Amino acid sequence: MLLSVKDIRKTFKSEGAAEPRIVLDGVDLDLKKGEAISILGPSGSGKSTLMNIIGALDKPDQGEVIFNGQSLGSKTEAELTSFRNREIGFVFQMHHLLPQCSVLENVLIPAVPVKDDEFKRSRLQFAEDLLKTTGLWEHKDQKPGVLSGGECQRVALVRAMINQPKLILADEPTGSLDEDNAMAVISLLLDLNKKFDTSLIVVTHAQEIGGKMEKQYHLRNGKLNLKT
Amino acid sequence: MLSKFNMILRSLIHYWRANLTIILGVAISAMVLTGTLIVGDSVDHSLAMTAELRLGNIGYSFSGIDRYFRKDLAENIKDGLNIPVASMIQVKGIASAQGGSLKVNNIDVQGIDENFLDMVPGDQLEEIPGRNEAFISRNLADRLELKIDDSFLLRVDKVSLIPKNAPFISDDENQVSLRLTVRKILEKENLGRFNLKTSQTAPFNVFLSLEYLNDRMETEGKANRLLISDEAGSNDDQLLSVISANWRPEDSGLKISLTEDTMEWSIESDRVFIDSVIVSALYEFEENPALYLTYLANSIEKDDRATPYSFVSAGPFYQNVGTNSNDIIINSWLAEDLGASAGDSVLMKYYSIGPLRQLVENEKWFIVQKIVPLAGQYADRALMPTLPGLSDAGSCRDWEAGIPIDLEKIRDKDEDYWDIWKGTPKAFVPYSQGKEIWENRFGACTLIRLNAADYTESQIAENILKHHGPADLGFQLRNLKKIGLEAASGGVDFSELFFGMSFFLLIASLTLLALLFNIHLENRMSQYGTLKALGYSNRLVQKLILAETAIVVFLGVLLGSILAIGYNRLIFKALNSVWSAIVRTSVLAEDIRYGTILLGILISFLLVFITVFFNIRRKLRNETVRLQRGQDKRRGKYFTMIMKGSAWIGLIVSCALIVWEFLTSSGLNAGIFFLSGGLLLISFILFSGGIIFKEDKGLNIELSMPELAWRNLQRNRARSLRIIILFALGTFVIVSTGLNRKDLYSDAMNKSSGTGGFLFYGETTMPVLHDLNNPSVKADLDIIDEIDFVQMRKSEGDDASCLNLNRISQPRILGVPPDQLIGRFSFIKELEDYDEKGNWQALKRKLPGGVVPGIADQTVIQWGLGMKVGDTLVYTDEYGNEMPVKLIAGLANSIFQGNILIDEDIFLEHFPSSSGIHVFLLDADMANREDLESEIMRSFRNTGLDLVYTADRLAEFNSVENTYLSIFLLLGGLGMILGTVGLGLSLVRNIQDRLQELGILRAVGFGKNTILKMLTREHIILLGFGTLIGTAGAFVATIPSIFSEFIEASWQTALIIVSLIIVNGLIWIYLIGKISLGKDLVGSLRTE
Repeated sequence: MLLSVKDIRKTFKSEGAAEPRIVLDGVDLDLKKGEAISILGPSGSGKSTLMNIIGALDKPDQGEVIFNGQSLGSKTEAELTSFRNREIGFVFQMHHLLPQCSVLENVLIPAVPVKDDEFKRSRLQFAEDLLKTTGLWEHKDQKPGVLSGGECQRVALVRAMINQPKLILADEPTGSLDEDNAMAVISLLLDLNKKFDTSLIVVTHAQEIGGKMEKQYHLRNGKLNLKT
Repeated sequence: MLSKFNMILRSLIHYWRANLTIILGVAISAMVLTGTLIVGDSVDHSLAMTAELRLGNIGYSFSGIDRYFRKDLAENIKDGLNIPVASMIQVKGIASAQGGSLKVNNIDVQGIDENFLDMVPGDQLEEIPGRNEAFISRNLADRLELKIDDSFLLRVDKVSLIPKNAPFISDDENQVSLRLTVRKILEKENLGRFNLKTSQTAPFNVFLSLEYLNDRMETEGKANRLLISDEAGSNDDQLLSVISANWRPEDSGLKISLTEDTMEWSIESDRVFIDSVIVSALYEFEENPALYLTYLANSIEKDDRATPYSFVSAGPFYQNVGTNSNDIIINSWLAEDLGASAGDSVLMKYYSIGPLRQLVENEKWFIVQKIVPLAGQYADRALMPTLPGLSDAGSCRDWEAGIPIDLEKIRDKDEDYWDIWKGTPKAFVPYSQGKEIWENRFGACTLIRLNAADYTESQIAENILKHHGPADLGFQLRNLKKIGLEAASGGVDFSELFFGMSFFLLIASLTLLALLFNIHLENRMSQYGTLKALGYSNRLVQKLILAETAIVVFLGVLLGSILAIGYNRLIFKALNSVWSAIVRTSVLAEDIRYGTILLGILISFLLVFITVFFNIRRKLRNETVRLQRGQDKRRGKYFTMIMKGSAWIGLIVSCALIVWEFLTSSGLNAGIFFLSGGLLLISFILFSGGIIFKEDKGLNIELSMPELAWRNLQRNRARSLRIIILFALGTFVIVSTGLNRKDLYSDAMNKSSGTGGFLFYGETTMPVLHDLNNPSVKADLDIIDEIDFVQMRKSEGDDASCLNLNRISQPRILGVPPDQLIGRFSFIKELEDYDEKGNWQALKRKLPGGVVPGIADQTVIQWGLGMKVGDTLVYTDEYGNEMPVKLIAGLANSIFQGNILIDEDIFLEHFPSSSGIHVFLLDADMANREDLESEIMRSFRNTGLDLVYTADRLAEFNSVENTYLSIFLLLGGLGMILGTVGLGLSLVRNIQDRLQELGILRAVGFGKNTILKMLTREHIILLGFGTLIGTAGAFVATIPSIFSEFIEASWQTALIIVSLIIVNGLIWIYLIGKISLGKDLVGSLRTE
């Protein structure tokens, strides 16, 4: 099992509210290597919170995230940073490309903190392969400002793949795209999932997108349920 | 391959606009900071340069007070030291040209010989002026419009070896007029700014040949000052020993001659009265010297017969006579004239000569012990001292005796006696008796005789010199170069001064920088969040930002340092022109030192970097998700609590200081109130921060527009607070400056004001030797009776007023008549055992240890001397003794600024040779001021009088302070501009941040004007808060000025300033709001 999420609970204290709001209430999830799943739910249901906890961007109030047999809770901040860098690939609703860097440079950004020089050097070739695969090579020297929204999101996807992570976390990756671009991005995600045997969790509120994954989960009232 | 460096470079280039703005913000801070350092260096350098220019190669000066020595002393010392030494005569003069239409008073006239050329740097001066020729300084040439070969008239204070106020010395020929041709105009490089006093201002100088000047003043071979080259280094002891080794009796004014008739050595003084230290020196080797004191009696009377104007000698004419004896020996001529026999009583009338030639006729009865023939020791003409105007008079009617001579009383027989016997004394009294009635501040002896059989001439000289030295006669050796350079380096610290004045500007620029930087950081927060999500550690992200920031800051600091040179140049231009009131010189030259610039760069870099570093750190403390969303973590409640707690502490301390000052101090200390005002300002800023950062209590159901505006202000609390800070600081500086400005002429005639209620202040180039309040003197000078004078004596010393930038250690002393000053001026500091009314009388007190009480302007005490009331200054008096002056009180800002005031009688005890008065105050009716001015000027036309309206003199001092305030105001104004820029930026940024929100408001039916009103209201709150806080702080800071009866706090100015600040802010809010809202707000919804 690549990922095991066990009994995750997370609450938020809102300003002016008397009681904290329970966002995740005993969430369990297992994910195998190469598996692609989607988590569906209405806005505010806690999907992004769950993704952030899995991606070590946030910590649960209770419960445990085990990745590759190791609990994230026992890792130091530095280990978590390295974990995010090497094991996880993030794709957000907004592409968050650095406007000051070219497409190729944006793709290579996750390789900058890598300390393994050989691996670091190999990323250039890998970036080229990925960009060619995704049809973005011709834009490699362009700045994100001149690309379309769909193209930017594809670049963000390539960026997520550059360090060959074991898991891609895509939080509403098509949320800011039109339908055609959305489908293109999802197809690309799935292609890469297959090609590199990378596990994939896609958070979305769109049934159509969620339906393209092997399994679909629903997050409602803090509980995660497998859609059967 | 993308590297960290590339990432930084890409960011620098991509965000060039934002970075450029930050660079400019940093540059302003760095410019202000480095600029102040350069200004300080430049002023220090200029003062040191001035010291070099005014002294040339001169290191030491050696001189006394009204004392003269052989000019050849320089040659003797030169041979001993093997370095350049020059003798000179330095006197005061008045120059006029173009038939008297152009006139300059208070000129330093120097008689020089070839030795002086060695004191001039370089070889620009190769010769000294010839007879009837003069070298003049450039400033004098300009003032008198003189060119080379033009001629002008110079009247100089005639040097007299005899003190001018000594008894029987005529004051008729006190000046010498010289018609001179300009042979050379001296520029600053060749001692055109020659000045032995420590000041950056250049006196008017005239150089003449010493030989020529001596010739015209009948002082052949004499000099009154010795200049020693700076090659001597700092070796006072060695120089003094060389001077002492070459000192001769003539240098102490002594003449030793053999009286062959009696075979005695006669010792006389050029000064008529032999100094008491010389007499004491004689007693060191001769137990029983014959001392004589010969005096002019107005009359000797018996019954109805009187003999006028007879010299009477006190001396060893008696054997075994008691000190209280009233015996008198008269010669046969007098006995016959009076019809007196032994045992008769005779009445002697004589003048006692007080200060300012005040004559008091005294009388004393004597009993004739015996009558002696006009022969032997009773026919000794040499007993009469050499008195110019008397000794050389052909007849009694030609006498110029310095006292009124009633010619009608002089009979033919008196003329006959004079023809035959000249000033041979007609009567003889015991020395002790003569000493008792005729001793004066110049001495008690006119002649000393020693038995020629006991000593050779050289033995006498040797013994006299063994037991007294030049220091005993008040000669002082002063290392002028060292004093000058120390005074220059210890003077007004312009770095500190401008740093103080620029402090608020610096804070404002740093606040603006923080605002700019934060806007930039906010723009990039999501980027930093993304990097963290992509596996960048917090430290790496921080490193990247810090590296990028460091480059931006460094570039800003570099630019700022370059601008600092321009800033310094601008300040210097202003100091040399519109702000010249505070420097009084046009020789300020910039001095740019690499070390200073490097220091400026380092300090600016650290200061700016620290400012931004904490912002970065705080922002990066946000969780990655929050960062990615561009959200900033709310400050904890502890932050608000600390803020409020600090605010309360500030408020309490501020109030406590005010109450304490009101309760304990007799005068209000401006420094304490400025501190209180500053604390109050900070406290109010913290309070407003506490309010802004306060947790929301939840939405009010009836949400009003003001509440909405308030909530909007809380969207970016730090930004809102920064706007308040910027406006509060600007308002504080500008309003406090406005309220502190002094009305230069209000209340000028009030007796408790800085003018003392006097109408005029006068200083003469030549001494005035008479009591100007004496009706007969007034009549002689054609001065109306209604005018009263307060006459003051002055010692040599430096000007310690705010007009002198050097740190003065020995200001000029004025000997004042305390009784005439009671009820005049005001005191702001006094010692506990002195009261307000008694301060003037307290000047007469005799303090233990010979300490002399003194009073000075509090500003002089505090800033000029760096001392406080109760401290003691040590002077050397005319006898070479220490004269400690204890400062017993500090005057409120007055026309005495720059001087130390002591009692005139005490002054005379220490400086008996002081020849007349140079300074006076004039009390008269203000109504006919102009007529009076011209009358006085006419009456004193020969004295080189500079007469100024006291209010003008006070205004001149106040103008220094007002100029400082103008600079402060200007820098505060610059701070205000930064505040306005901050306000504009904040508004633009707010609109940018809220484009969607504003679009929605527009979409749901809000009109553009309603939105503009809402935005305006938000920023008016900030503007109002800032202005209110700044004004409140300024009000407290200026309480002493507001309550001062001497400062007319300009409420009108303050009100105008506050109104201008508000109107300026409103205009910018409206304009920027209008322009920014000109966009299609609804469209912004679509693009988003």
